[in-house]
Amino acid sequence: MMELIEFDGVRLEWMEDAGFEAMSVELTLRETKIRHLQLKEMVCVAPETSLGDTISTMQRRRNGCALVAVDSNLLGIFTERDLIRKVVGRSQPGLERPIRDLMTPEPAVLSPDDSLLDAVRLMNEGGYRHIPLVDSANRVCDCLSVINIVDYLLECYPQEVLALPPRPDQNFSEPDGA
Amino acid sequence: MICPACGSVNLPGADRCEDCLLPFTKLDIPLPIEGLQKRLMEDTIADLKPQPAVTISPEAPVEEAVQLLKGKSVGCVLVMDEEIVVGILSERDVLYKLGGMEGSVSSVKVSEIMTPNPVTMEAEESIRFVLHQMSVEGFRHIPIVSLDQPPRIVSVRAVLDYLHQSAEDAFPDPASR
Repeated sequence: MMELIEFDGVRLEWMEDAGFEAMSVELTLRETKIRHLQLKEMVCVAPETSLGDTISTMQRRRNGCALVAVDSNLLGIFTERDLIRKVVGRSQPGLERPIRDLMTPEPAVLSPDDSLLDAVRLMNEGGYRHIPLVDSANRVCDCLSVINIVDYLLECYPQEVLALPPRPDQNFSEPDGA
Repeated sequence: MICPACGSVNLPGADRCEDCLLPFTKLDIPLPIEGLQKRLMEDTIADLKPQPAVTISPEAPVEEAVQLLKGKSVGCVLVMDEEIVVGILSERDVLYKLGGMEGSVSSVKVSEIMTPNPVTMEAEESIRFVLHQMSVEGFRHIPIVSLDQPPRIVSVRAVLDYLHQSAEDAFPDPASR
């Protein structure tokens, strides 16, 4: 791709010799399948698991979402939002309640072969942050989180996003590397 | 490194072309070209349309914060001591620090479970700062502060919306027409 740029007052014919031309994000979203993303290992619990155990599993695994399944058959999803809405508060239900009573049943799902664009659309329309992935035999295999998509897209633009120069007025509270 | 001006070959990492003295340092800075790459380089945080933040005092009981999270359907509340942002309380904090607590949480104060001193940004800064923080630090909400406006919040959902918009502009969904 040849392009003319202004450079220190000289007009140059500038060849993009970076080796590759980054695919546009629009194309990336449409062409990339969800299975290409590196996903965090999902947290999966049985419907009889108590609320307390589910919460401690989520805390231990640092995951904001737990899938509820029997023999890989997805029954529901329990997320931070469910915790806020149904658990924490004045009349807190006991921690021994089974997660079955508190989960959101029958969440929207996608297949690992769907594109990122499908995932983005579904998240936007439904206001979801997590989408369980099920394979063709209807077995749950993973959980896609919104941050996975953002991360993946940013990897396409490492120079622009991940290697930002510091701001001139920036102060570091502790020395670098400390 | 081939000099784009005179075509002579230089050692990799050279600061300027040995033949024509053209400085190479600026060549490493990406130039906005097209599509999302261009938008990422040129847009500011204001283009993510930050929403007004839901605020609470650090002395308030945590129940009140949970009611706010629930009632306003937001993912985080900003903890403000008068005009100063002292912390942020997100769903994640509730899960990590409150989940699994027996009985009532009425004795817990917001200041005990909030994340203190969150990273804040200004709306005039590049959108890339927000994306960087979210991706590298894993934040889902970033408070946007300014001197003459109440604080606002950029959430990961706004970022998703922004990316979605970029994609839809390029490839409209045939189903939605």
